[in-house]
Amino acid sequence: MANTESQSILVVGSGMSGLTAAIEAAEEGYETYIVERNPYLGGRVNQLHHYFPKLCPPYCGLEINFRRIKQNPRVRFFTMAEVEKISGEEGDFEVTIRIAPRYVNEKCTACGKCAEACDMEIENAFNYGMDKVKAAYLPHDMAFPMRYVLAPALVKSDEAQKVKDSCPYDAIDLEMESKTMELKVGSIIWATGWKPYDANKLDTYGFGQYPDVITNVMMERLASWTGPTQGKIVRPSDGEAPEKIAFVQCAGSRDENHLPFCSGICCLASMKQATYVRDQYPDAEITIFYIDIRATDRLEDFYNKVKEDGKIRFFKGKVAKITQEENGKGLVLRVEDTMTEELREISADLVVLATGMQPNTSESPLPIEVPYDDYGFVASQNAKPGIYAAGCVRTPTFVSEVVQDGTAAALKAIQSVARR
Amino acid sequence: MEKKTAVYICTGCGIGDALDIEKLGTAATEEGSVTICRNHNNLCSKEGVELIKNDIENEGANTLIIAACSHRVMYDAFNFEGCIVDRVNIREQVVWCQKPGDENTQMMAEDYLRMAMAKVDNMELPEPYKPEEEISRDILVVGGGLTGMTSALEASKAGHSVVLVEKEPQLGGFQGSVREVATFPYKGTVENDLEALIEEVTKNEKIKVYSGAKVEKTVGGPGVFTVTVSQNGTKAEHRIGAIVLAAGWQPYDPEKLDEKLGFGTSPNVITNVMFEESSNGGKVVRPSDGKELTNVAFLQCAGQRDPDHLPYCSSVCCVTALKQALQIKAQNPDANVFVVYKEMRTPGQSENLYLKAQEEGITFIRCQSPEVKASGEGLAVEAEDELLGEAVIMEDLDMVVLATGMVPVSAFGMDISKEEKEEEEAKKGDEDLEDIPLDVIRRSELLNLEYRQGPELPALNYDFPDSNFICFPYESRRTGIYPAGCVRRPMGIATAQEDAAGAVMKAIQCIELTSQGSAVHPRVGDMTFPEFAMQRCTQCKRCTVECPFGAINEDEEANPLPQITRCRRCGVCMGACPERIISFKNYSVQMIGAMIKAIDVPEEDEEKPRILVLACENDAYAALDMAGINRMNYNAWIRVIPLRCLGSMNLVWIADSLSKGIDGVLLLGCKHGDDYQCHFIKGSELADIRLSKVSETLDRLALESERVRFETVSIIDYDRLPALLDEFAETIDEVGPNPFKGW
Amino acid sequence: MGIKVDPNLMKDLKAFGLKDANKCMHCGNCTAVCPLSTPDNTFPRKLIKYAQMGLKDKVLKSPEPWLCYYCGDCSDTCPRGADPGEAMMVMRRYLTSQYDWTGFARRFYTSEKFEIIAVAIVGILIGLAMWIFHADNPNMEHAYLNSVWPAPAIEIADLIMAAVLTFLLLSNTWRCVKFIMGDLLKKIPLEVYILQAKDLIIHFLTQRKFGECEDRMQWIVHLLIMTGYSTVFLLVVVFLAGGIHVIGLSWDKIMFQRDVIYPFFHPVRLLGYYATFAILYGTTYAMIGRLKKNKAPYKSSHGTDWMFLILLQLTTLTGIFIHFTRLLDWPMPTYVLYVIHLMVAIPMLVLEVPFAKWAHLAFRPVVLYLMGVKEKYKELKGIA
Repeated sequence: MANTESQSILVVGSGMSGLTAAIEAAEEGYETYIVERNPYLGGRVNQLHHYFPKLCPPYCGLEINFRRIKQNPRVRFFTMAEVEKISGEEGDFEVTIRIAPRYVNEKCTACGKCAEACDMEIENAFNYGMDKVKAAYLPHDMAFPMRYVLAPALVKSDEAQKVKDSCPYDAIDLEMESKTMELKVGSIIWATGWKPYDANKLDTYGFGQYPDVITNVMMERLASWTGPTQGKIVRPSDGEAPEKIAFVQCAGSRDENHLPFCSGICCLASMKQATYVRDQYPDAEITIFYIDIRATDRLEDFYNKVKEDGKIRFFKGKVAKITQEENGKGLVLRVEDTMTEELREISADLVVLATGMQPNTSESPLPIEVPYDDYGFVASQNAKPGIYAAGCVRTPTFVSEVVQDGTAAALKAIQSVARR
Repeated sequence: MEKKTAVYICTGCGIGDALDIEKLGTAATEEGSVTICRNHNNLCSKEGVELIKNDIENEGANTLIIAACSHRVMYDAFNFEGCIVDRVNIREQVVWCQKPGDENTQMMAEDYLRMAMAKVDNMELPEPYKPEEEISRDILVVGGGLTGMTSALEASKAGHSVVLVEKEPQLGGFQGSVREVATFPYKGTVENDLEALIEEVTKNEKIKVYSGAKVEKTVGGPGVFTVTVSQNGTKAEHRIGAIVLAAGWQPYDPEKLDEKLGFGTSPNVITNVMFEESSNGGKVVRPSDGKELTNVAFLQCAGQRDPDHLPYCSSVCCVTALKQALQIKAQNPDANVFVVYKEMRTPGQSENLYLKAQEEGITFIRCQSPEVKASGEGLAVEAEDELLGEAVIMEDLDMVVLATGMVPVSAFGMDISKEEKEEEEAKKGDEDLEDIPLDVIRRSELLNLEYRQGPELPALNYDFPDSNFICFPYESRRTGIYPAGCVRRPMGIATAQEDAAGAVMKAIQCIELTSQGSAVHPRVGDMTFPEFAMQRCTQCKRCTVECPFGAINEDEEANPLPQITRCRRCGVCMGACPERIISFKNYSVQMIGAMIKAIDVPEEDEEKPRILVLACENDAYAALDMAGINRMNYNAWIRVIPLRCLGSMNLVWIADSLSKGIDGVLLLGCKHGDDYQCHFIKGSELADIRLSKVSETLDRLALESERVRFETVSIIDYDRLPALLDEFAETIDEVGPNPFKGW
Repeated sequence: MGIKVDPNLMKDLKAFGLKDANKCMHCGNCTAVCPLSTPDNTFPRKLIKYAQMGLKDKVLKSPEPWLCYYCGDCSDTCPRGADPGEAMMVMRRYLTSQYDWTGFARRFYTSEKFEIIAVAIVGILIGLAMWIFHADNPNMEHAYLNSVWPAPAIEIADLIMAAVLTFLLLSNTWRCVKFIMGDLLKKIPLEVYILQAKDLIIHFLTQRKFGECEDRMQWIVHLLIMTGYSTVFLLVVVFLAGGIHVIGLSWDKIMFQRDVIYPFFHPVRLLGYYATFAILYGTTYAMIGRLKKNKAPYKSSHGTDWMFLILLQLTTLTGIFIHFTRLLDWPMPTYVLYVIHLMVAIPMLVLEVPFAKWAHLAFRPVVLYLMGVKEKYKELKGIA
């Protein structure tokens, strides 16, 4: 199959939709380029402990996908990179990519000497800042590419030289600078995904004010062995085991003051997280505050399974306010039980906010004109001739549908370039 | 090919500090009589790779053993065209997880090197499989509904010819009866433009449409299917590359519904599907007398989310009800419309439609079991309103619409697993086959596959032939056949259109890979395939029964007839075969056997037991690597051999190990059962079943059953792996040394 | 047999200004966010549910609309934009019209045309009446109101009006009480009612519940208007002729309508100033708010909301002008302004007190009082 520039495909974002799109297209024989903002591929699923409803680890599917890339020279990727400019048209796009310095080159063997030598610590973005890592770090255990990163702060510091010298393979390059490169491609798949809605905007919930109010994405890290607590689900305030855990659904979703749409996944995510808690604390009391439980499809089975747990309580009512007990220990949730018209004040010692999915395109749109809906989602898969949107930039949904969408986008991109 | 083996030992990443490299080298040069053996302190560097390239060019080295890091890293550096390459993982799985400078660590490294040499001796370069017949690039699409037609169109746009088979006399499927649709951005309803799609499909010269037709017979495999289509009496044959199954769904039979819902008691109690059919004319009116509708109630989840009917949620009924309610409001703004729901399910942007319906003044009532009361003309619905805690009643209703759910067409027809069971009972032979779990396959007359393992796709659950894999929704259980649309799982039109494109993507990709002779997902790029030494076959049927993908047919004498393009290269057949007649160019019973034999088993008095670990290469092996990356230490007696899938584990390996004096065998496989994680569906389960049969072997050898164990581990279990390995080692220690040592 | 669902109530409530309530998806946020909602009386969601289902009887029995002071927290945080606060306001209008046995309130609320005409007619009648009934020889040197319309005469008119208004208001309030109390009304012994009586006064004077809302400014404004208004009411009805002149019970040291103006620090004059300031400030604040829609309670304004504010402000302004023309001792302008003053003030009183916004001045404290009575009764029953 001919693969001129005009037949190559650029995939922006390497979360499950982008990663899938790139690999599927490459396995059909097309040259694909992945541009990823993080220093590793795979996107947000890397940070999930388990998928619902199977409760299986995302690493498993990622391992397969990375193996597919390893054996397929047609997939090329740029990490710590972002698309700055797109010009031209279908079949002949000129793309400008900005690559931030990693300060570590391809000579890195991931031996870890630099981290040993490094004293400086930085906030661990992978764990949503819940712990610290060395400023010379491997983003996570299955980071692909398996290569270290140096924090800019470290490079500026006087520790830099010491760290550089610690590398036996001359893999550290302190002179590395942000650079741009041009790429000619035939079609583009935009799959930059989503970000968790900023819980600080939910002012009545006291996120950031009360340490024991966390978000669902943080909960995934707490449950993971690679997380800040080696997988122990504890209260951030005192490291103690929680006894009463509250899951607050629609924290910002289905809310005209925040995200008016339904994020589609939070109900299942919270139920899944309830099982994490249950596994660790057989006696913990779990309450899930909801408006509607949206377990579509055969996910209903998972809902039924969780409902059977006598200690997991489904409470129909949107939490209005979260405050702290007078003694400063524990939290109080003010909520109406809409089934009984009772106004309740329910105490909990760990609150998980089920924050929704905000499309990244709502804050960083494509560098070329495409239609969006009211919420910043790309309005349609065929965003414009030669440019296709895939995954959560189109609609908030769970992994299997995102992969489905990525696969479909790959076909669209192929159709677009195959005609040339 | 005349093999010339060269061994390269990397001393970087702490390997040099932890091991006696000299001594390690002798394991290759003296024992293995390898002429080329070099060290480098940074083998993956340009210089290191040059060193190897140099030997390939000048020394004619073509079989390379690279003792360095795991094959999971530096894959691009150590990639040498035309050479047999084996990576010996002495970094992650030796020096990073063992005591440096310890003799046991040294022994482990040496064993791995020996095993590698045994391995490459039994490896050959793969020669891609090329079927005699020429590969067809045409796509068969079964089902002419929205999904089917979209699939056909998408495939044609990708340059493939399509054969589209629809059972009804005209194209369109269910959507053909739909006047208005609700889709992105879900701000209201829009005209259904299916006619345009039908025209586009019928006009497209790349698409051959058979309506009022069915697939009579499907034989062969990806790239080489021969499909017989019968259309009113006449039969046509087509050579097909891959298949998209978009056969769709049937509404749940309203006659079966709980009588509380009143279907049949009044002509004015209809289903959501009947609503669409009646709305197609234009205005929707009261069924009984054509009167204008002023009071209408929609009852959601009619026989859905209900263990006695459909346990699952059909996903689209809420949006459908909202759409239909809005249609009524549009034709009569003063109409009173009630929606009685269990749970309002409008995910994503479809929440907009819910809001829109509220703005239009539609009344919503949350109730788990409403009751329809029909008395002559009068129609009423009584519902226990959960938000009121009281029963409410909607009177003088002109019409009640029941939201019945979607049943995949694959749910109809007899389940062959039951048939087979009966047969088995009839002639109770093959007692050792009986505990192999059988798939649910119904004679639903969609594909009529001439496969030994049944005529249709196996179902996952509730008769949906869906993928079990969250990350790989198109992983159907029959290679080259991809279900799409509502036959796969309930979905709305937007998702169905996407799904069509996705399934076509996989279909054309399957054809491309097949034409290259490559495996498809998940082993894309694997050019090897199972070869059968038929003269030694005893017709035991194990391979044909156990193949998770139905890749092997049988002739009358029960000889296996492998259909290679259907094969996923998992090696389950190889593991199943008691006669060891099935092997791959770079993966065989002999090869693993040789690796086991290569393990040096110290004398009993040295008190150095040996434990063989057979690990799934995708999950368990990766987990062991990550234990190393985290510098977690574990027992030094273990020797790990990665397997394509635990399902390829052949019992003879266990017999060999034990009779050779290896003290214990540990199998690390993926989770099986309902939420199985094995990417070859039944691999780990089959391994577990086989292991249960190993007891007689143990008895024969008079050995304790504790010596052999199966553990399920997932890729993130590396936090508990070291403990697990140590614990097994302790058990083995307690059981005591294997009496067969030194025989 | 269940309660009949009746979508017509929503349609009816629209006439009273209901807009977004059908957007409510019953998440319960409003009830939980409301500082006044209590476990015994949860609102506003419950009322919206009643409305959506058309449960008129339940609405009639509900005290909750009167427990809400419309701080707007619920509307501000409503995820659906269903504006529950406004829904409660609408409920108050609806209930006022339901309490009113004359049916006048309903028409006044549901038709702006009717509202304006009603105000106009009453105004004109007053104008005519004053033109017809005035003393024969008005004093044209000095601005002496008594020389045209002697206080005792006005007082008699005042009293008649007061009597009529009181009758209407009380009869409506009585209906309110019956709806709210249901069978309890007779069950509860009289002493309990007496026991709680002081609450009635406190609630009326302090509007203390309002103080519990997050936004205290609303409470202050409300308090200003209320006290200012009550003061004026006192001055013009009780003190107008210095007491009850008809039965010779009067003391002209405290007479409100007198020709010689009191010294600045005379209590009556000070009271007048306070009232003027309070009302003027309150109404202006509210009017600006409604124009700017700067707070949830001000976002949607019903015709009667404006009518109320305009009449009140006009009354006050004309009152001020009269005060100045008297200080300047301009006879004619004083007399003309006085007529206008009454042409505005009287319609406000006659129409708004029994049939519209002013009525809540009676309903709210009474309902709060009844809630107290109920509680006390429960408490006592608990002991017994």
